[in-house]
Amino acid sequence: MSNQNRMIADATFYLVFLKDIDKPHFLEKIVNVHDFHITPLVDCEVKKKLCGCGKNHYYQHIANGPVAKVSNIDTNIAILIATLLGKSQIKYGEHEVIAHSCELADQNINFCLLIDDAEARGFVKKHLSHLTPNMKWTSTFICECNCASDVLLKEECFELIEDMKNANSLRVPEWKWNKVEAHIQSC
Amino acid sequence: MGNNTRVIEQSIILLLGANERPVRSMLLLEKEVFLLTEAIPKFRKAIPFSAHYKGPYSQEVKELAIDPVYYKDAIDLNNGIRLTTKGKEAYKEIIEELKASPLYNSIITALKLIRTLYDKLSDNELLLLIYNSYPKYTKKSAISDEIYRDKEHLSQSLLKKRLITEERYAELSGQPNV
Repeated sequence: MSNQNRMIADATFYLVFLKDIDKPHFLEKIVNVHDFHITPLVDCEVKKKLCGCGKNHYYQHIANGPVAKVSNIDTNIAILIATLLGKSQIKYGEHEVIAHSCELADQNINFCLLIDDAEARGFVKKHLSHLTPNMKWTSTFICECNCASDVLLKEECFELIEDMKNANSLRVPEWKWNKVEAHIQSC
Repeated sequence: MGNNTRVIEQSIILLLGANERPVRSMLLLEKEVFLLTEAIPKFRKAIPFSAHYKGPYSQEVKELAIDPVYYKDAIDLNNGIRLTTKGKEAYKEIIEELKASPLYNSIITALKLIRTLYDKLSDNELLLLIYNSYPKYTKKSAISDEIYRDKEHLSQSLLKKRLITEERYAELSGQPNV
């Protein structure tokens, strides 16, 4: 995982830790190790969703930290993908993270694209297949946080997975969680 | 004529050179240039598009693709629109010039994305997406009425190619998700 430490995730990734399961300390641990690039719309959506629930300071701390960066994108390449996605997918910044990944891929920069939306994943696989090797489920990434590095303890991974399963905001299928749990158990 | 003419011709050559495959039709080329101007604001300033019954339209793009001023004999209009040998050389030169620009990487990605995704659309599928996404560039007409009447079938076709998501299908067709 060390050669693939530039992380790109949509708004649901941050919101699941900060709002849905309310475990910001796990996100902090992850962000302290990996180089997260937050695209502008993702930044805006996360702030909007956290506003008024008293959790915004956690996100601000992460977004303003030494590692996570809010990308300053002065072009609008994401619009080329937005035309093809639905409104809710756009709202969570799927088009931005896919477009940003394309830019990094074209520059031969290593990255990891975290996407859980099944349709967005299908779109990438079918039409932008060069991104597929860099695309991961959040669950797979959590698994790697223990099995490929020591960012999270086994128990912490299980705790996260259990909470995320119940929250179901990532819309990760049950079989995927089960597979990841089995893998963490055995690694 | 002037700098804008040159930029328009360069943008056409960049799009044509971004993929070996020819661009299927003039309508597709026009709309792909439009999408480039939306993605890269630098181009938007030089290439004005106006509302038209077939969506955003630029007479200059069409005329300069047929008869370029600065890049004579660069474009072959037989069996689709493609670069000639001379055009391919011009493409390489333009790319070299662009490398100094801070927008170089974004432009390259935009060109690749446009040709990868939008080449796969039929003219009517493209028009439906453009009408829906850029309504201010569309003048109501018999053609737009026809496209909207056929929106369910066109959206189905886009979904079958998996070029749009189910949610986008519902938005375009006015039908619930399949």
